[in-house]
Amino acid sequence: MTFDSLTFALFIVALWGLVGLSRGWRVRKLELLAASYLFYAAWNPVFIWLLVVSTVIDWHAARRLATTHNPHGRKAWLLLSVMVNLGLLSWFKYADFFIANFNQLTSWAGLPGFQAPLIDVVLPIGISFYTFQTLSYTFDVYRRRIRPGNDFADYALYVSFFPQLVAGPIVRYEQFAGQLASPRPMTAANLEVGTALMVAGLFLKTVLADSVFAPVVDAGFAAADGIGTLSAWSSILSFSGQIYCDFAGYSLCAIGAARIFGFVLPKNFHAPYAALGFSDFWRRWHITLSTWIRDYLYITLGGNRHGRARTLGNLVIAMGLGGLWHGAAWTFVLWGLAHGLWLVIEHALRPLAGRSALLAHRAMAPVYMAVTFVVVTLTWVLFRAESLSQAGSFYSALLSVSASTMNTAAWLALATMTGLLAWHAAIRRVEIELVYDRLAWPLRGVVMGLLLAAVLTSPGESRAFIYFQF
Amino acid sequence: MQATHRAISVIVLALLVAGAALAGWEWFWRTQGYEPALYDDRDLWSLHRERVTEVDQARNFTVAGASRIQLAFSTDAFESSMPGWTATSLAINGHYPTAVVEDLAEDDDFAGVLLVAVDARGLAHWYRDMSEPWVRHYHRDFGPQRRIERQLLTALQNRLVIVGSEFNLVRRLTGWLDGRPPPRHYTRLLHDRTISADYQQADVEGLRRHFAQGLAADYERRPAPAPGRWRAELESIGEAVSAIQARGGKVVFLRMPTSDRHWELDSENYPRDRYWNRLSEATGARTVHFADHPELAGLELPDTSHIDGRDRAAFTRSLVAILVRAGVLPDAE
Repeated sequence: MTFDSLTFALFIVALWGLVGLSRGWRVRKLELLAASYLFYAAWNPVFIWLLVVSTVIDWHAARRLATTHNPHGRKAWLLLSVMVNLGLLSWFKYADFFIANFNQLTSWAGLPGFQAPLIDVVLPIGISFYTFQTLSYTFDVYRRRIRPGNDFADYALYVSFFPQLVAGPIVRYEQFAGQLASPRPMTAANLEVGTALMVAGLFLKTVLADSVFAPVVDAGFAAADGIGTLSAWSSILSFSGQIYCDFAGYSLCAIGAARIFGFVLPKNFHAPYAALGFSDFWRRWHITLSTWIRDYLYITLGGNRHGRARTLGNLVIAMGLGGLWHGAAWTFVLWGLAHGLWLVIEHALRPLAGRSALLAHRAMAPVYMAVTFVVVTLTWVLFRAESLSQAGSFYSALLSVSASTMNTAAWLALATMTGLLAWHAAIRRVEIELVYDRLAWPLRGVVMGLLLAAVLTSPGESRAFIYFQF
Repeated sequence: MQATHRAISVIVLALLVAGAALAGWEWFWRTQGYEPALYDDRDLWSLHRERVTEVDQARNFTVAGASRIQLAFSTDAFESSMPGWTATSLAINGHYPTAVVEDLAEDDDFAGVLLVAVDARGLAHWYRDMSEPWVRHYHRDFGPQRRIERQLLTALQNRLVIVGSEFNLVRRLTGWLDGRPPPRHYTRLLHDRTISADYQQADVEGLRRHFAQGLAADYERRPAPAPGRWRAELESIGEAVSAIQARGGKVVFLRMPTSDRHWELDSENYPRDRYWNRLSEATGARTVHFADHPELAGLELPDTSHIDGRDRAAFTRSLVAILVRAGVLPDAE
């Protein structure tokens, strides 16, 4: 079930009414748990078992981790959790990628007889997100950062809570457990803020990502082999807008949907295109994934504890694996590695900025912002391209000078992207919810109403949220 | 004002503003002469695909093909000619049906009569996978939620103009800047996924040119395979026919009428004696060619490839009569 569907609108209204009318916190939580499983089953009931397996295994592994003192025994329980979660993820998401690469290797090696058939397995929606979420739980229990929960139903709700189930934010147990302990306030204020966040998220998704940006991006990449310079730039700048509005829109909807039931989910985006450098970008883009990669991958690899060279190597490896998490294709791996490289370069240049008054001056901030945005945008080519050859064609179009014209849709997309950049620059140090709170109530109502009207007058081809495929 | 009242006031005001804006948008387009319309998509196709295996297979008539049969066939006319039978259209505009036939063959629950409206060109390798994304969508993505979503969308599309993608706010903004109003269609998708065309509303000469030029260009880009290769490549569809017929079903290939330049191009590139006439032998299915049946050959084809909505019932009744004579359908009497 997607947030931009009519079905979801009915689902959440009915659920809000049901939970709101129910008495007793435990009953409400069980209703939310049942509704979350229904939400997942609405896509494909068959894959419910994956969610159940992941939940049950990690629940038991974590309890054993907490009571076992033998280091080998603890490692075995951790390994079980990792193997089950990553095993499921690998099978459903990466099996065909590995087989295709194996086939390519045997073909290069002159062994065409060693070709394995592709499995063509369906990718269960949200598997990348909930496996990372449950893994964070067992990792944290293993590191004794948290104590395991005492209530299985609470833990199951933590894993499957429908707003964050299929595309995040990736929530840590410590962020959620406290909220499960006492009744969440389903107040009118939470309903208003939650609804406003959902409407804003749907506006980003249906109006900006799907209607303004996506047609320009799709046209540009479909013609990647013969595209002109101007069109290529308008396409990739539009993709910067599309990917942000699509995923930040989803995250806002998720946070808003949780809020109307009184839950607070962590922020996932904060003005990423106003970042001053790549470290700053990753503190603002898909925040819950980048902190996951930092805490459970980069630090596990050794983090910055083994010298400068190893630190930089760990950065590149972590980002490369982060790229692979996004999709089973070399384009995603290269996208991640490129971001790792930008982080390495930034680390290398940082001492220079410390020594130069000019480079450290506040007036340089717009320059850093612009450089970061342009490099991030150019790196998106790898993310969007369907193949390395398409990415190559697109880069050559971007970096060459060939005649092309832009149509009205492309101009509109560029104007919108410019507005988005200005918006990010304006809110880079501001909490948007505080800005909303300061608005007079009639203005809040009119703005929310106009955004909702724009959402409802933006029907079109059904485009799945981009991050659903990850 | 109390916080609770203020929050509720914000939501009520937002709903009023949105409601007023939507009502104004709907009213504006209705005053411009636009009417609600149903729009086809993979979910709607999947709803019909699902139905094909839920009905009584002994009285199940399913149609696969592209736009020609989608504009010509009437499920209502069929069901009134064949009382007790259920007719379903799985035709997809602009998509040759090979993947649909193979999908039905793999479905053990399908054992009805399958009419495949296709020409020799549509069975060539160039076009084999055209409808595969629709089949894939049905098997992979179509589930309980999409079923409900599509039913809700159908209900809205039947009642509101602005639910149509052509009335998308951004599309209308760029259209307005470019001086392009929403198109006025001469075709209308009906509840059964068939299409009714009103050629009195169409630029018929423009359509004739469009089809002739497009077809000529396509024959250059994708030339006809040699007859031997064409026939060899029918092996998988032959297996599909065998699978359906082994379960008690029947498969009929129907060559829909084309005329004028369209028919000339078809005949030049895929001469009937070297292609179509080999189809029955290669696949084990019955074939019906429009040229062998005056009631089909005599139909008026305004754009050289499709019939007007007013002829749909007559076409369907003629088709039923031909299939009864061929023993594919029982005599309704």
